[in-house]
Amino acid sequence: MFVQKGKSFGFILIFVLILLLLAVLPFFVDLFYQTFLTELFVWILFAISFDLIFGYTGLLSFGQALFFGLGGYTVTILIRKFGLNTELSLLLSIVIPILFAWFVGFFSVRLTGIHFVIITIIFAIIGNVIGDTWTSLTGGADGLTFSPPPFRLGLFQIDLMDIKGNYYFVLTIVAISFLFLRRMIQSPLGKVFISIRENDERARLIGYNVQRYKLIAFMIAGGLSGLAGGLYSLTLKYASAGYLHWSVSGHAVVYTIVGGMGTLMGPALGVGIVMSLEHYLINFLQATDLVVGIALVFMVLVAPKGLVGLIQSRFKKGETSA
Amino acid sequence: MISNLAVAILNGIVWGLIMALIALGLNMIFGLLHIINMAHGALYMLGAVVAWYVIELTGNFWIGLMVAPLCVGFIGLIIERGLIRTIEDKPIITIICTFGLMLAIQQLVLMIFGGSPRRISPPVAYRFPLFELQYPAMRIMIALISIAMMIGLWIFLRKTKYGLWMRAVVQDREMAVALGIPVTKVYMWTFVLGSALAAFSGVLAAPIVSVEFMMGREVLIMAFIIVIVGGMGNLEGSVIAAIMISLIQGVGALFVPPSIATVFALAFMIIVLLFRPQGLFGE
Amino acid sequence: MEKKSKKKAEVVLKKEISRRDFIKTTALGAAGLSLSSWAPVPFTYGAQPPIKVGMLNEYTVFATEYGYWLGKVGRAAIAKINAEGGIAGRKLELHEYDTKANPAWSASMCRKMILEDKVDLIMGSIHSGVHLACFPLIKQYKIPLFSGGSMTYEFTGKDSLSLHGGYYIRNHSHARSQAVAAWKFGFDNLGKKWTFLNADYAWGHSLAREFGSRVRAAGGKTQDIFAPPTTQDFIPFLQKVNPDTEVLFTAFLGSSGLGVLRQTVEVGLHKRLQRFTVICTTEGIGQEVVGKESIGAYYIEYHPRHLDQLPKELHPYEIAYRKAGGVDKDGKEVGNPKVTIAGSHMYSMWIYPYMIKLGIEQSGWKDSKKNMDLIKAICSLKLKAGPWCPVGDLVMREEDHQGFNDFYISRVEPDLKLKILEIIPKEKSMYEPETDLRKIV
Repeated sequence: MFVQKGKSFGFILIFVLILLLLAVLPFFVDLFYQTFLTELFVWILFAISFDLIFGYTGLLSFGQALFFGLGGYTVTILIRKFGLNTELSLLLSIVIPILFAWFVGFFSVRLTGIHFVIITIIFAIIGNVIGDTWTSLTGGADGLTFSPPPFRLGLFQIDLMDIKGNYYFVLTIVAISFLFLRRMIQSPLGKVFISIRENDERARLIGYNVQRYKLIAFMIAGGLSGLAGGLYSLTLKYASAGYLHWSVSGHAVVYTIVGGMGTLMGPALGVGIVMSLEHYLINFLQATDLVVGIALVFMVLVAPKGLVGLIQSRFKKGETSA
Repeated sequence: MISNLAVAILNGIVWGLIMALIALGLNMIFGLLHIINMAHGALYMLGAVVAWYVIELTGNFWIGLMVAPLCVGFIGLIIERGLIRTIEDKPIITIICTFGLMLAIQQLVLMIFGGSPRRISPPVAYRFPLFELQYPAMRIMIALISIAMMIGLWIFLRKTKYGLWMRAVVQDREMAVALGIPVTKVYMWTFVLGSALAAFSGVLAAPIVSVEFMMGREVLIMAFIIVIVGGMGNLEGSVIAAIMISLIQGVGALFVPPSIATVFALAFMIIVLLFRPQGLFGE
Repeated sequence: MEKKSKKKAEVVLKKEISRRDFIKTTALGAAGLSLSSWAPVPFTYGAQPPIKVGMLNEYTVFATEYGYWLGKVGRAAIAKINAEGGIAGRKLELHEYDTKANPAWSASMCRKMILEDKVDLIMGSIHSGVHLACFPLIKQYKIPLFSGGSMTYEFTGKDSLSLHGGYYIRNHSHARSQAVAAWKFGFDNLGKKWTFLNADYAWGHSLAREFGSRVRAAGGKTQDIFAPPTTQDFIPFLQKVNPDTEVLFTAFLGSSGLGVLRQTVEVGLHKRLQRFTVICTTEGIGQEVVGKESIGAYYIEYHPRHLDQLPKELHPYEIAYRKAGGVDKDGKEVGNPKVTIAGSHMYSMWIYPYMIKLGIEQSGWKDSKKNMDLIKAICSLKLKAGPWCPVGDLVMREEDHQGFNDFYISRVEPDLKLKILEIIPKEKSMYEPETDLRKIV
């Protein structure tokens, strides 16, 4: 109990510290790093939304790019073609993917294991094919650009064309989402998710409507993936059918597993390490894929439970020896 | 219209058989051993690339067809012993490792072979007259080879001791060990077989699709879909699944825009999975 | 210092020039950063700062044969300019990045070039999506972007101002200028009933639209068949070609480009119709790779692959240009006969540094405050054939920042050579500009 409270306090302390650090960073680092970090935050949101269904609920969906792309296009098309404001477009970039997640999930959660994986992939491919060929709506692989108006909340306003403004905007939303997810994981709902991951047969026998809970998790993850996509479009002022490609889902899978699934911090760490590695490497070579590929193999062999798992086992070692 | 339909049906079946052949190697590794091999497409590509070099040297397609699977089978051996063996029972890690492997192999081939597509001349240039068109005999040949391979593998799995071992190992690993089956060896040789088959299909497909470092990316997901919808490890199932996808796409393209036909084919796969999650012929 | 930069392929890459900040993540969740110090750009004391040129190309993933050649020629051109004294006494410093054929990634690289490397100009890439994704950035930071080879004509069309604010410059052709120049040859010599079998995305659509609308306006008949850009099996599409079609126009890239050309012949269609396409479909790919199937096919080239096909007066310039790029007279890489040039695209990168030099000298440009003046100077250039312009005369248009040079219609001969049948003068390709960027302040 004391340990539990201690853990909670520890987490809050660390979270606040990191947040403060990130908040003051723009005054010390140049514009490029601010944009790099902004992108990092977006991918962190995408990765933790994936962690919700994979790390915590045990459903491997290789099709999250569908919701990411939907969110991105919702924002882009609503602002560009319909002149909607940024606040409403961003809100809809959560709502519309949730609706699609409801539809896809409705069918998908009936299946388990590898069949769930494949069916989510197939839905994502369908989305990708439509995105690629319905060029009058989506601009296809070339994509669409747009200029988002400032984000307004009451009297408060942020100009997204300004790099610093964009940075704080994305940081705030991702931080709130992170806290939201963490709260949910710790709530009874989250505990049901975890029990489904551990043994969904047993969860069913206890009396939980497993499929309904899987669907809920899928919808929440879809909504957050959509939000990530919406933020990505707002940051780049651009969306393309490439957002719907399975390799985007693949990124979430890699970041989460490398960082440590089922930990929320893990995927965030994974995003940081892999993206930083990639960006660092391009200064020296063009063949970054080769190094990243090899690095992935090593990272996952050395730390099968992810980097968070590695750190945790270090701490545990420390405890037992003390 | 009748002639169009006839051509579409013939081509759908032939192309489906070719796709089933490409998925065959994955059917061994993933369908039977349940190892999620994201590098399957890369092995398929390697087969075509190795064959290209061999054909450049010898000028003979058939030598390439024989040498490439041997080389890539050997590479599969190294991958299995060096990497997969330690992680076979951990599917999550296998996904990442084979994914990383795929990236690395593709990049290596880009650096050595170059990015421009290269050609392997078809060993058989004859074309059948078919209504107002001609149909390349090469495709029919590959389809026949595909059927032959399926039958051969089926006999191998059902009628030989090794095939029995493979099925036993998948059904119940512990029992297999208890029965004295050399489980590790079975895994290893199955992986090698799967890699060699991937390469084999790559060499055969190359005259049609050209040799290119990214050629594996296109077939990877489709191969997984075929294996799962057909029923894991089930050869007849993957043939039917592949032919269905191909037919719906080909015949559909006569009536609706091709992208819509593809969406229909994919939606059909979803329906199959919903009604028979174990696949068409799976248990 | 001079010798050193000359040795490294005569281009000073970013890793030689400044130490990038090392990015580390903290062990506690969200990434933190730690910065290492910058090393100053090494230049000789008293010399002026270099002009930083960013270059973006497709080096991996897709269209790599384009990236290879555009990069190679770009580097050679910059080396030559530096060897000849630079521009206004300043050396050109190159910062190269891979687009990975991924627009979102490229936007990231564009930001890196503009905000971190602090480039003055950017050139390269043939991918329309890449350019589109970079437009918001070049518009905001007012950085000139010189297109390597993207073919979306809308980029220099009526939406130019809203898309890129006039900061996009294109010295090469695109779907509309190609169509305007070449449709008539096809219509008069090959046939009046056309079928477009094109890749189902913007490039394929615009070629079908630009060529098709002109064929129809002249009384011809057209049919559109769109197939996925990475199609491998073309028989389902080829069998839809109308029985009375006389011209089959195909537009795919990479191995799909090869596939459609070969399979057209495999099913015997070449016996009853003519094949007509833009060279983009087999750029960087030798005709021997396409195979004997390509004999008799017609291509629209923007610069001949074979030296002897070029008008005689351009030969001395072309020979020097090919030497700098390591290319022989038949468009093969010197020492590497399996590698074929992207001859109709890579020249854009050769000419840009020269255009930039002239523009800087004419406008007196010193830094980013006068970027639009520089662009205007560049876009008013009327280049004459010369060592820096082996494609013959090239005129830039101030109204839309678009360049024009001669086109060539060639046919594949039995010896697999691309033989020029007709030269189409650039004037024939000059459609009405859709915008007027001269009014930008």
